Amino acid sequence: MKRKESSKSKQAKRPKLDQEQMKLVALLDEALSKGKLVKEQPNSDSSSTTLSSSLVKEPHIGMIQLNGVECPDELLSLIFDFLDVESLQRSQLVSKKCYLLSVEDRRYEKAMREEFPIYTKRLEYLNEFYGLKIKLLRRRFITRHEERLFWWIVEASNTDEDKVFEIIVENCLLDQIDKIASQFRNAQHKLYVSGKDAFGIYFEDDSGLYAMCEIISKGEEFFRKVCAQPILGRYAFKTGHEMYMYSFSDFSYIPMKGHNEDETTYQQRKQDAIQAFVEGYEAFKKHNL
Amino acid sequence: MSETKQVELTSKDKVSFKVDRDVILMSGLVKDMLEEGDEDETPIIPIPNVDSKPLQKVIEYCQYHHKEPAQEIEKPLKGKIEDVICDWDKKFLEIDQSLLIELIMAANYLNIKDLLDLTCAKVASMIKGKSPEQIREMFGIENDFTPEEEAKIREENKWCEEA
Repeated sequence: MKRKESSKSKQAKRPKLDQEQMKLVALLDEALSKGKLVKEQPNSDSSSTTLSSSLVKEPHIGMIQLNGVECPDELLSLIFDFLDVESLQRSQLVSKKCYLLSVEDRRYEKAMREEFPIYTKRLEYLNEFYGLKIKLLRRRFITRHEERLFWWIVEASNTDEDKVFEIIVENCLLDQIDKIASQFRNAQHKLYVSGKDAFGIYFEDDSGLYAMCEIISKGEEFFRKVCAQPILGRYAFKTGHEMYMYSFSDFSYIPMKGHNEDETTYQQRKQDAIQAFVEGYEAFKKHNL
Repeated sequence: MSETKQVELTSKDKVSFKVDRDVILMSGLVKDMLEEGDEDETPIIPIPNVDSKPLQKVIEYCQYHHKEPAQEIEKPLKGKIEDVICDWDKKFLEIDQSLLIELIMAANYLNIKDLLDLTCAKVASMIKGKSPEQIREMFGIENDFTPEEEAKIREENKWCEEA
């Protein structure tokens, strides 16, 4: 059973992300790409290159025919107010007018606030609460590809735990921290199972735990090699990388409730931490680290 | 015992409808006109932009909802419209599409917000889950994109579509 799981993990090896996908995962948002991490600007950033920029220059006639009835654009806009994000995406290909209506910020505001409340606050803090269609879709994309996001953070951190904190804060991933933490635990579990399959016991005790952190910090490719051949990870028992683990723990970002602490005080501490997070890495560092 | 005051509405195609004043006060337009006009016994109000068929539906809506206020419909629609409206409204909306569009126009002209929301939400509900081609066909909308423009939009959105 365990053997099967181990070979399954080998089979599950994903193809490397192509360059475009990597950019999209990496460049979470132009507004949030001001951190040191991101050097390249996305070619596919629709806030500057979408069709809308050329379409809006065309004369806007104020009527549309619906079932042969002349309807003012305002009424079509009211209809669009009731469309959810998925329907807006499909509607944009109906006609130019529908396209223009489907990219308006106000149609994405509610979904953005509901789905990504902290990211929304961050955007407002940066005065970047616009271009919401692309920002919302990107957020959704990365939150639906948790494993890719996790390995992207690991590889971008270059084994440095402080860098992990910075990446998570600057890209405003606090909304996703529980998912990221869970991916870290999954990776640890895979290593543990591989080690146990190969040697009975391998990544045990604290030294084994720290060794797993070291191996994960080296990136996805190396991690998969060790999963396939656990012996390759033996060097890590000498070095270890305990601190790396804490940068992936949700408790490092959101304070835990102290013993005998009343709810109001705790909520206030939590809000202060989130506010520091919203203000960026420096504020977060002062507050949390 | 005082008699209920009435108002006579005349549609674009010259059909007259007598309606209780209290009922038709749901229309912001009629309300404004009645406030401006004389206290006639039965004032005649021309509605030159609305045909008799949609006007009749408007009156039907007002007759029911002036006593039973409509519930606000959340934007955007989370599920089907049928899940958020009352049974009476469901039955009321069992009409053909062109009448539905005319009703939107009438609700807008007569300034009846709840009816406008209801009809717009109904159209949005019909759009939900449909492909661009189906939406075009359903409402007779012309595709004014060039093939290049259409390809560009598809390309722009490719990355965010789930694999």
